Amino acid sequence: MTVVLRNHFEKSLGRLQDHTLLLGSLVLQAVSHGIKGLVERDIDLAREVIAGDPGVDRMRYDVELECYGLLATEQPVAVDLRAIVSTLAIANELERIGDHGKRLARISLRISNQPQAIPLGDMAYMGDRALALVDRSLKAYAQRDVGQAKAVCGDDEYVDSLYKQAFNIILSYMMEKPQLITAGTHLIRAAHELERVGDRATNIAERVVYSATGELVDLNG
Amino acid sequence: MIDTVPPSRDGEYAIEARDLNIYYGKFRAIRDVSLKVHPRKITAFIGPSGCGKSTLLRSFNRMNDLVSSARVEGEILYHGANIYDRNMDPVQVRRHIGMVFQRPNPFPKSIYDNVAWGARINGYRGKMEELVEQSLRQAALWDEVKDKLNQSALGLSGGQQQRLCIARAIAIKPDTILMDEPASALDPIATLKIEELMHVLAQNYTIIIVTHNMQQAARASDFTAFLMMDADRAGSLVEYSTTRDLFTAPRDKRTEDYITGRFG
Repeated sequence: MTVVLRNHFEKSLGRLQDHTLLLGSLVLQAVSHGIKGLVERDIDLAREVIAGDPGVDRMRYDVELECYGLLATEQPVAVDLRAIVSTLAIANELERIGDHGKRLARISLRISNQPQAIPLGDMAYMGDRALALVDRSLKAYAQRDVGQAKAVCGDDEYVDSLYKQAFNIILSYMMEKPQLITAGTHLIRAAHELERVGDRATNIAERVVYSATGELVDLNG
Repeated sequence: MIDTVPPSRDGEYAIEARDLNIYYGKFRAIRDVSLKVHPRKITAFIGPSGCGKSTLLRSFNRMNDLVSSARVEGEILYHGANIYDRNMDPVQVRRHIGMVFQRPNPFPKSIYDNVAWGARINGYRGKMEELVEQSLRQAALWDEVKDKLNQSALGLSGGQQQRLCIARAIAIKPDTILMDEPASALDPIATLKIEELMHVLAQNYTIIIVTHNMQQAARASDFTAFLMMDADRAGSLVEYSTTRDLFTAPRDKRTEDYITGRFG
């Protein structure tokens, strides 16, 4: 049986993780709504995502300040230190994922008056795959699951290949019909935002591996 | 035992313990400790009370000889020679490997005489005033005491007394200084002064410190050895790493549990 001498600190670490996961659920929603706004041309939803972004930023700062407070007052070492510094990095990645959601929403506002000739089914699918990576990286974070974290990094290659595929398809539409160039260019940007979401999931996974093992390695191929 | 300390640059070590076992009567206090201490670095011994860290430190300059029931097996090599060799003079050993204790223990004499004492006994033939000044300067005490060298050392504050004891140890020109909880009786400011002094001294001396203040080991040392009691209460070395590695990513679960305050 392990006796925990620092119960108060242990609880603080637990709260920090809860707050980070809450931030995670907010940005998952931002990206998910960003995709929905784009694919379903839901302008109200897109505006909601943009309006929600400052709240995401605020929550990230709060997590950051919580980390600084623990570093200053608890003098954490070893696994505790790694958990806190990893959380700092993860909170940063999460906020950036929220930014990708915001940019998706902005793109949907930009192309709302453009002809809807390029099918967006691939985009929705790619978005789901990218979001699943973030979700799994957060589960790995919550459960300190190194195996799951490494699997996330392996599966990001699939999202990367979906991006290349989407790029080529959108390009072919633009070549065929130059009047689709404006919308197509915006959609390529949107696909790129989603590809970046997948990359950030692997960045989170790398920090989960560091937190659990002390090894800081590039798992992003 | 996990030992991730890289070899010293020139392959030379200040002190090397080999298969060290220390007994007090029938009780084994230290079991099978082997470790190499890097020269001109600060090495900290940490571990729970009774894990044998002070016993191990004291074996490095044969202080345990003063305990009649103590018995040492194995070797402690100092510049290649075993200090427990039958023809090794413990007084000579202690001249080269000095010691600073937990509570400052100046003699009830003047500040000057405290520093000059060891050198006089050893037949120092140089200019004593210069040696005293140099030693007090190295111990970062000169500016505070230069105008009252003839006053009693007992009038100094605890932190000043401890630095005086360090000056006294330095004055006989050792190359290694053992420190047994040197700051545990001091306030935080005096503690930081001692730690700063250790960093400066490490340019010229090898320092080994026992501390039960883990933050102090983390702040003030280059290498850290973690000792723990086995089921029979004999202390053994669990992990020996660079201080950075030990406090960020210890390899042994027992080290991690101890330094993060989780006891198995």
